[in-house]
Amino acid sequence: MQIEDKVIKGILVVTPLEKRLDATAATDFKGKMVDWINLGHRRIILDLSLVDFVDSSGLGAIVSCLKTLGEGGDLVISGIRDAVLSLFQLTRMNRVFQIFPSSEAAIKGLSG
Amino acid sequence: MANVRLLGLAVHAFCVYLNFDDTEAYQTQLALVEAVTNIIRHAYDGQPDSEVEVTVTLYPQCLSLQVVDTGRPLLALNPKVLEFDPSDHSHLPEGGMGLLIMQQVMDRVAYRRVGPSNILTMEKDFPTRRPTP
Repeated sequence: MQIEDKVIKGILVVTPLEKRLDATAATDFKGKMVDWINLGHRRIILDLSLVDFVDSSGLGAIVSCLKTLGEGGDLVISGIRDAVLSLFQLTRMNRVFQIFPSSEAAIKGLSG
Repeated sequence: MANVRLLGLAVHAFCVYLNFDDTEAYQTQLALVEAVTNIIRHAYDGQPDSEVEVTVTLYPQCLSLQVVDTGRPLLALNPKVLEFDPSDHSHLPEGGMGLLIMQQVMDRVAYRRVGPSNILTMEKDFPTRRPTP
C-alpha cells in the first residue's frame, strides 16, 4: 500500500493513496505505521480522504497502531468519508478516535 | 483473498445501479466482504484455493446475497457483544467484528448447513421512497 507521509509542526500526517484499506492491505499498512511509530513519532494524523472502503481488518489495523503508540501517543483520523465513518460508528470506534474534517483541522486540534 | 475485492466491487456496482446511497452501497459491500473474509479465514483456515460461491438475487423488495462454502461449519450466528472502554486503549478489540457488522447493516441474516455446504443469506431491503429499477 502506498502511503504519503509528511511532518507538519512535529505531527506526522499519513495519507494512504489507495482506495481500499481491507484484509489485503491491512498487514502492509500496519507494518508501515509501526515503522513510523518506532522512529519516534508520537502524534499521528491518519488522513483517510482518499480511502473509500475500510473493512473490519483495516479498522483492526488502525486500532492496533493506536495500541502500539501506547498511552503517550495520539492517533487521530481526518478527512473520513461519511460511508466509512459509519463503520467507526457501528463498532463504536468513533468514541475511541478523535475525528476531524480535514488534516488542517486535525493539526490545529493537536497543536492547541 | 485478493478476489474478495473483486466480489466487493461487483456488489457495490449492483448497489449503485439500484440507487443505494453511498453509505448503503458501502455497507452492503462491507457485509459481503466480512462474510467472505470470515469464511476464508475460519471455515477454510486461510487455504489459498478456498471456493466460495456468491449469488446476487434481485427481489421486488430487497437485494439478496447468498454465500455458499464447503468449509468448517459456523458455530453460531450470534456475534459477541462488542463491549469495551473507549479510554482503555490496551484492551480495544482488533477483530471479531465481522458478524456483528453483517447483522447490523443487513436487514436479515440467516445461516443453514445443508449436507457439506454452509449457506449464508443476507438481505437488504429497498427503502420505500426509492422506485426499483
